[in-house]
Amino acid sequence: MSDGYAGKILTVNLTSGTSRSVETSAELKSHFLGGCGFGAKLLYDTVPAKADPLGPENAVVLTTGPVTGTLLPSSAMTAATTKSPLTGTFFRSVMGGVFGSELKQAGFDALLITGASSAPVYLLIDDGTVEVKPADTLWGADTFATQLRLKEHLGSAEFQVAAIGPAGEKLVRYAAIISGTRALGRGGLGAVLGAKKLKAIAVRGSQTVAVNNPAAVIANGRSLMEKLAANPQSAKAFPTYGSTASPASYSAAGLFGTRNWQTEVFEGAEAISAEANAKLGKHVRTRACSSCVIRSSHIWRAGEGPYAGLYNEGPEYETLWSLGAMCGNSSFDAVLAAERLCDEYGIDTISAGVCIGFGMECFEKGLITARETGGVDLRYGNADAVVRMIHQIGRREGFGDWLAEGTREMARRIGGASADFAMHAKGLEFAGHSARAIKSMAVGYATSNRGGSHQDTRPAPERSGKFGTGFDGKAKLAKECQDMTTIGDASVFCRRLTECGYGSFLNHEIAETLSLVTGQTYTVESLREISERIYAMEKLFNAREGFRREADTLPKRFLTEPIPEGPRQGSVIPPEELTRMLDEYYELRGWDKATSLPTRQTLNRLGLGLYAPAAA
Amino acid sequence: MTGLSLDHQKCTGCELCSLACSTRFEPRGFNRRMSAIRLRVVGIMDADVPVTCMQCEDAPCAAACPEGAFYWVPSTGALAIDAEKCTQCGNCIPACPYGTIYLHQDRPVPIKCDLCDGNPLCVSYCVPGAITLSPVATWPEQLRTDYFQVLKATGGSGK
Repeated sequence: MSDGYAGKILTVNLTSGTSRSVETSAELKSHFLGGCGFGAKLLYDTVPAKADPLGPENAVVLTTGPVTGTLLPSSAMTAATTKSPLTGTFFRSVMGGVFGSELKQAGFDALLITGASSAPVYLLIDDGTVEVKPADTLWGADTFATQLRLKEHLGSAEFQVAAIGPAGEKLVRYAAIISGTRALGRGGLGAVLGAKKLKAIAVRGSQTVAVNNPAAVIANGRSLMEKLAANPQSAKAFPTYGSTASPASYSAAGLFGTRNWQTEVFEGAEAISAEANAKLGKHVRTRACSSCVIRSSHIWRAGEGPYAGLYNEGPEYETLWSLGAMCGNSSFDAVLAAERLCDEYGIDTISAGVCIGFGMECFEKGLITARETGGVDLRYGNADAVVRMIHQIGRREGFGDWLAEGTREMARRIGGASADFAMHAKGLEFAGHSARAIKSMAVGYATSNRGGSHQDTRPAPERSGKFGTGFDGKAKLAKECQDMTTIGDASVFCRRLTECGYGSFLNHEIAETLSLVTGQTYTVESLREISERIYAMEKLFNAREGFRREADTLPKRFLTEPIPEGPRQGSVIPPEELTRMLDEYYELRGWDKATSLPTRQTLNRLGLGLYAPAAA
Repeated sequence: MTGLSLDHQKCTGCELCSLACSTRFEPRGFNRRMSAIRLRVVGIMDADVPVTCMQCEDAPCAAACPEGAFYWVPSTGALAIDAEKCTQCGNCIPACPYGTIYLHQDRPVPIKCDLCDGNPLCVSYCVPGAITLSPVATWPEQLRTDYFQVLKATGGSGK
């Protein structure tokens, strides 16, 4: 079949060490498109209700989509889904690199990992051959060493390896899976693999990604490249320094969460931004994921001082924000060092920085003392403490053992008023985009099926100024962003590609691309239906876990403490405004306002009627 | 004698060269393993090195071919393989000092760069400008030295 799909879904059971593959059904393709859509459906059907996220019943689904492995720009993506050990919800995470292309070329649209091994193993997929192999000698190794050692052992650098590091092994609740330098970063996918004793997945494939109309896909890719070349962001800003340039402008605009969102202006924003550090000769070179012309990834090296000689790909905006501003840390080199450690241990930099920043506020307020922190002076601005805490998180040593649990559980242990400023939604730490200043992010964060993620509703449309700064119309804006990001993660396209090449909302251009690749006739309307179906499927997963409307909320700080200074001073999300936006949002989705769950009518419309009892 | 000039210092590792190249060998779509130009990465992030045929004047691959299937294309200066003469013995593959001739199970003839009739696709897809059409002899000395050093580090220098 020349429809963009590899045609098979591989299931590996780590308890029995066996695998089998089935054909990717026409219905799955037409109803769920690919990527996170396949992931949502397979996860719901595989993982029983109330399964322990770190038990053998949980699954990790690594997926590709119809565009993965093609010549279309920024299409070499991997999407993963699981039940998150950090949130207890459905989770999806997406990474670039080239792992997805390799999996697709090995012949698989999806790899469904179930069960758990009793001893460390790695999974070897070499075209159609699948084997579960011992990994005792790799256990304990960092993610970079694991990849290099496996490639050497397998005798070919053609293998792409996705690995967990010590943090995944130690079940850090926001441990990541790393491939190359890219991360399935958020939500603790690395911990789920760690619990399964699956150290790594090595995959190599030689099969063609056959598409419906190759000549038209090539032409479509060319015109996308021309669009990207005409967009100042993708043509100039990203290739120059990537999002590393952004902290300064975010802070200047007054929406740069600082010291655990106590303010949104950071005095160190310039110091951690690209310009200042490029001037000091720290920019090394520019990289791209497979098939990408945006090339927003950059290698930076530390200057003179304690981190001299150290380099890493990154840090990008979110990491500068979390390990920088959230911790009051204005040392770019310390952020770089902490980020490199996060990549090696296999840790999500966003959650790590937010947890440390939260710990710092608790420390400064006297809710915890040097006794809890193991003698570390956990004050804002202590750059060395940030780096030290990453080691402790990765090893679950000392206070790191608390930090490794995430802000929600930390607040439970610390007690007092700490829960009021534990900055997460459904247990997932917010990313560096202001819920108070950007109202669509407030409703987006509250309704995201994975918690405080900036990858469902996106900040860019409202930040552009086109939609005003008030509350009106923001529920619709949030939902329409989600419609697009869901299709992006199902295709699977990089977010930077969809935003710079297609725009923030579903449109005919992306429908045309998907039609040329698959041979199906997609329209904005049919894509919206698929998107709503996928989002409802994720929501049903959460419904089955017991999540209802009460869970769709924000921490007290965002609801009661206005931004104290700067251009967005006074911005806050009064509870009644959040309620109003949520009501509007559920209505737009055809979800019940009382419970937040999809109505029977909506499920029927989306062809999910079978699942209606779960939402009752 | 012409060829492709590969500047690994400009390469971002995007592999669009490989993906584009594969469309010359695979009419159904895209396949990085059916391409005459490929990416080698040093370490995890230390260097991205595009590698392809150097169109050697004294080509070891041609010398290793028992059928005399290799021939020079006058219009492009590329060394090509005559599909009629090739028996798929595979002798040319280990003979290449750079490891840039490949066999693929779905192709009757080894995959080797023939400079696309003089207008290479990889060059037109290389946004950072790392690939240009110019013979190895014209590479700046430093670039050439560095390049072959990284090539060696990625295990592609043959013997």
